[in-house]
Amino acid sequence: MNREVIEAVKAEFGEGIVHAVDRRERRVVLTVRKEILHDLCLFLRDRLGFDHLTSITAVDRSRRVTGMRERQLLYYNDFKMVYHVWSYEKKTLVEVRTVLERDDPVVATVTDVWSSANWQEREAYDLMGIRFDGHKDLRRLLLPEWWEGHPLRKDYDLSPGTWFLPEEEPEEFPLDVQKPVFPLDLSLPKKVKKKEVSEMILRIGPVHPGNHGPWLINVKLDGEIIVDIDPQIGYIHRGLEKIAENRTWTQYLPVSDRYCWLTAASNNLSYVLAVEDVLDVTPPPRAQYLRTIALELNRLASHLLWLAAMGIDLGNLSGFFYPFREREWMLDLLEYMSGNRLNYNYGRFGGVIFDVDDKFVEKAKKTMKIFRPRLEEYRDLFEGSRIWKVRTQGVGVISAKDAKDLGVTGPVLRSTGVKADARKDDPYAAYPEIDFEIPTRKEGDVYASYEVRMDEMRIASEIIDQCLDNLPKGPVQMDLGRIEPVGEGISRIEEPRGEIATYVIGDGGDRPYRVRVKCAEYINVSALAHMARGYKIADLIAIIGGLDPCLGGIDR
Amino acid sequence: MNAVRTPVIFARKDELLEIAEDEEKRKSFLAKMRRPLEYVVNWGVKSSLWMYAFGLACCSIEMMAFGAARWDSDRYGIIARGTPRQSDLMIVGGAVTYQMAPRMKRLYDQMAQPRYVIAMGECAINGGPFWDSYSVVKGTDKVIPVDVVVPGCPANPEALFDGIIKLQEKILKGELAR
Amino acid sequence: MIRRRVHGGLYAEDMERLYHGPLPYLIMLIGAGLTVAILTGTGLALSYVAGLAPEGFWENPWVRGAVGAVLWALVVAVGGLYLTLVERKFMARVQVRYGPNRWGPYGILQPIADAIKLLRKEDIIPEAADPLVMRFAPIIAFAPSFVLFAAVPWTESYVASTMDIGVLFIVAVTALTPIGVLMAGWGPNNKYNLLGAMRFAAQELAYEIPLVLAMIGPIAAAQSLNGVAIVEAQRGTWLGLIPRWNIFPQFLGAIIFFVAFMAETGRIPFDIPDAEGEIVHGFTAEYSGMKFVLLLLIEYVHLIAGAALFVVLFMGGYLGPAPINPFAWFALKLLLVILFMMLIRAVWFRVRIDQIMTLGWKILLPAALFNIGFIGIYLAVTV
Ligand code: SF4
Repeated sequence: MNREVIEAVKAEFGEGIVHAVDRRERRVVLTVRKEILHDLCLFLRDRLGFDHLTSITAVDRSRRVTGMRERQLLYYNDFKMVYHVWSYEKKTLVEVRTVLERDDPVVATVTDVWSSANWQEREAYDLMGIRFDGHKDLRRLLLPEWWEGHPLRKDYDLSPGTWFLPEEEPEEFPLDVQKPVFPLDLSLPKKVKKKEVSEMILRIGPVHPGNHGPWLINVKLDGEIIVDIDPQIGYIHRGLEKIAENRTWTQYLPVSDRYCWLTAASNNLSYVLAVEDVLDVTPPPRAQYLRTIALELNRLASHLLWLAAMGIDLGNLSGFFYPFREREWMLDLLEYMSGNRLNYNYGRFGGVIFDVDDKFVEKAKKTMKIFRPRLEEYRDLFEGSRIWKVRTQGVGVISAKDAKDLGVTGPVLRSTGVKADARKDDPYAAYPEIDFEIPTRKEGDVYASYEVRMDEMRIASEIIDQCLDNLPKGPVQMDLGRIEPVGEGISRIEEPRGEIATYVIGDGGDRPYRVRVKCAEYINVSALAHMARGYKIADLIAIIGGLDPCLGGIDR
Repeated sequence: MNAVRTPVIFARKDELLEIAEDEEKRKSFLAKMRRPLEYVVNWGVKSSLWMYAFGLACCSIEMMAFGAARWDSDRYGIIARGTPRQSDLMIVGGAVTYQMAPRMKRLYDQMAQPRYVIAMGECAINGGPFWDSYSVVKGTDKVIPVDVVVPGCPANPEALFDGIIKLQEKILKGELAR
Repeated sequence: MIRRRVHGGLYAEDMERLYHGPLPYLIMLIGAGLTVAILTGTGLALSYVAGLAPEGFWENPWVRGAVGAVLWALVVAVGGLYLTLVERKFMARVQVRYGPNRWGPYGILQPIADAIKLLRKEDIIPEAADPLVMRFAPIIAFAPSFVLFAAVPWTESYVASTMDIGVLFIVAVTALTPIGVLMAGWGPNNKYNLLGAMRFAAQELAYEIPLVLAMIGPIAAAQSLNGVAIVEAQRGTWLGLIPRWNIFPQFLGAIIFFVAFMAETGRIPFDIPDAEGEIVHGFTAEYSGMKFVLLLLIEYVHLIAGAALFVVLFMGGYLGPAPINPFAWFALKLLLVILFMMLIRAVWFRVRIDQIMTLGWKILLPAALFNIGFIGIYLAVTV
C-alpha cells in the first residue's frame, strides 16, 4: 500500500516531491515543496481517499535556548509544517512535511480540503506565529487576544520575570472576552431558514454547570433556535507542549497524563508509543497486555463518567450516582495497578512501571463479572425513560461525510456508521491478539453515540477478561538505559473519545525537541457549531454531553 | 503515588501578622468566655458549607467523586450550588491560568459573606506540575485569599474531607463568621 | 512489587452487601413511623389544648384566623425546612449513599444549621439591580403560597377558614405566585433570572387550566367547593373493602391533577425554571441569604399544598379506620404522596420546554375535558 501511494504522488507531482520514504507498515513520509502543498492535499483527499486530517504540527527548527547536549546538525533556523493524514480505507498514515522561511512563515491553508484544519491552523498561528494564506478566521485560539509573542517559538522568553504574576491588584488583568466572530460558514445549514432573523448573542460560560469545564460558548440565537456557535477555548491552556521542551524525556511522562484527566492511561501511552516509535523498540508481551488492561479500565472509567455527566445534565439525579459507583471500582483496580486514582503514570519506555499479582487478576475478574449485569441496570434507568429518548433521539445529527470532513473521531464517528477504530485499523499494545468487535450505529444522533458507548463498555469488559485469561509471564519492562532519541515518531491510538495522536521530535538531547499532541475531543468540539446549528438552545446541553468534551484535552 | 496528605491551616495573607500579634489576647479571651451566640452561628456556618465547585482540571473530577456515592459530601451537609451567590465555599481544583484568573476573582467577589476558599491540588496551590508554564498563575492565593490548602496531585476525596474538617475547625475556633 | 493501599478494602463484593442490605430500608421505615407518631402526638396535644378553651371560642372567625396563621407559619416554615432533610435523606437512599448524617443523629440538625447559615449570609443587592423590585419579589412570591393553607381541611375541625369556596380559593391564590416570581426575574437584572422567571410563568399558566379542570370531578361528586364536604363525600366503602375515594372512579382525573401540580411546583421532570445545567437555578440565581430561602421555600410549600390538595380531593383526606387519629391519617397520606414525588424526582430526566408546553396544551387539556364528560356520565349513572 505504501508503495502505491508514493508512486501515485510521484507520478502526479514529480519535481514537487523532494523525498518520499516508505517508513514502515502503514507509515509514509513525503517531503514536499511549499508551493504544491495545497494541490497535494487535494490530490490525497480526492484521488487517494485520505479523508481524515489527523494533526497539523508546526516546528520551529532553530537552536533551542534550554536543554543540554544538543546536536548542532539539526538546526536550520526556519519553520517546518508537518501534516498527518489518515485514510479510513487504505489504513495508512501519510506524513507531509514542508519548510517555511523564518522571516515570513506563510503557507496555504488546507481548511478547504479538510474543515478540521480550522482550529489546528489557528493554534499554529497562535502559538507559533505561522500565517495561513486563505484562512478566513485567523485569530488566536488558546491564548487571549492581549497576549504578546508566540510561546512555542524557541526564542520565546521564559525567564522567571515573565512567569510570575505582577504584584499589582488582579483587577489589572484585562477581562478580555473575544468579540465572537461567525465568519466560517461551513455551508451546511440544516434547519435555519433563510430569512431576516432577529439575532441575539448568548454567552454560555466560561464557568457554567452544563459546560463540562471552563470554556465559553458564544451562541447566536434566532429566538430559541441556534444559528451559529463560536466557542472560545483556552481557559486552562497550560502550555504543555512548551513544558515538554523543558523536561527530560522521562520527566515528561507524568505531565503527559494530564492532557485529559479522564483518559490519562491513553495519553500517557500515546506519548510512550511515539517515543518507542523513534527508538524502534517493542516492549515484552506481558507489558503489552498490562497496557491493554489499563487502557480498557480507563475507557470504562471514562465512559461511566460520561454517562454520569449526561444524567445530571439532563436532570436525572440518580443517573449521576449510579455510574459513579461502578467507576470507583475501576479506579480501585487502576489504583492497585499504578498507585494513583486519576493520573496513573503507568507506561514507561519499553514497558510499564509495575507488575500485577494474582490477587489483582482475581479482583478484576470478579469486578467484571458484577459489572456486566450492572450495564443492563443503566439501560433500564436511561432507555427505560421515555424522556431520555425524546431528548436525545434526532438531536445533534451528523452525517458520516460531514463527520469525516470535520475530523470527528471516536464514538461520535462510529455512531454515524463509519467503522473506524485505531485499535483494529492501526493496532498497538495487545490488540492484534484479542478478539473483539467494533460497535456502530447509523443515526448519528446523541442517542446513537450513547448506544455505541454502552456497547463499548460491554466490549471493554470482555477485552479485560480476555487479557486476564491470557496474561503471559515474563518481565514488564525493558532496560533501555538512558534514552536520547534522535528523529521523529508518531503514535495514533484510540482513546475513549477518539483518536489521540502524539508526534515527537528528538534531537539527541536529553529533552524532547518538540512534542505535539492532538486529542480527540479538541477536534470533536470544533464540530459543535455544525452539529448544533438549527436545534433549540436546550438541546445544546445534550449535544455537548454527547460530544463528551474534556477541557484538558482541548486546551492542553 | 499517594502523596502524604496533611492539609495545613493557612491564614489569609493580610491577617497573618494581626493574628500573630493578638494570639495571646485572643486565646485568653476565647478561653474565658465563648459567647454562645457566636458558637451557634459558627456551628451553623460550618455545618452547612455549600460549595461552589470551581473545577478546572483533574482535581475537579476528584471533586465530583467527593460528592458522589462512595464519599458523599452530603453527609457533612456539603452540597454543590451552581451560583456563587448562594455558596459559602469555593473549591478551586486545577491550574488557574492568566486568562481564568480575573474571572475567578470576579466569581469570588460575587460570593456572599461569609465565604471560604479551599485550594485543592498542587496546581491550585503553586502551579504544581506546570510551575514553569508561561500561562499558569503560580497559586490561587496570588489572586484570591485561600483558607485551606489540600495537597495532592490529584488530591483524593479523603484529603479533601480532611481539608474540609480543618476548615470547619478553623471556623468554629475563629471569631464570628462574617 | 509495591504494596498499595485500597480504600478501606472496599471492593465490588463488599459494596454489594453494603448497598443491598435490608438495614437501611428498615431504618427508613422506622423513620417514617416515627414521623407519623410525632404528628399524631402533636395532633392529640393540640386537640387537648383546644378543648380547654371556653365554649364558642373557636367559632369566632377572628380567633380561628389568627391562631391558624401563627400555627401554620410555624408548621410551614419548619415543615418546609425539614422537608429538605426528608428529601435529601430519601434521595440519598435511592442514590446508594447516606445523605446528611453528621450533625445530630440521622442528620436531624442539618436543616437548622442550614437555616442559621442562611440567616447569617450576606444579603447582596447588585449595583445594576432594581433594589425595590428585588427586595419585595420574594415576599410577594411567597405570601400566596402560604395563604392557601387557610382552606386546607387537615381534619374535620382544623380548618383555618371554612370557606364555602375553599378549593377555588386555593387555586385563585396559587395563580398569584408567578407575579412575584416575575418580579424576582426582573429585579436583579440577570439574564438567567429573567429566563427562569419567564419559564416559570409560562409553565404555571399552561398547567393551571388542566389542574382546575381535573378538580371539577371531585367537586361534582361532592356537589360542593368546601374542602370538608369534599372529604365527607368520600366516606364509606364499596363492598366493605375498597374505600370510596375519588381516586378509584376518577383515576384519569387524579393523574391529570398529579401531573399538573407536579409541573406547578417546578420539580423534575418539570424543573425547567430551575434547570441547573441550563440556566443555573433560574430565578433564584442572583439571590442570597434569606431572600433566597423564601424563594426556595415556595417550591416546598407548593409541594406540601399540592400534595394536601391531592389527598383532600382524591384520597379521602383525613378519613381512615378509627384507632388512628384522623390527623395522623392525613399526615400519612400526605407523606406518601410527597415521597412518591421525590421518587419521581430522583429517577427521571428533565423535559425540554417545548415538550412541556406540548404536554400541557395538547395532551392534558383535552384529556381533562374528556375526563369531565366521563365523570358527568359516571355520576349520572351511579348517583
Ligand atoms: S494538582 Fe495535579 S491532579 Fe490536580 S489539577 Fe493539578 S495536575 Fe491535575
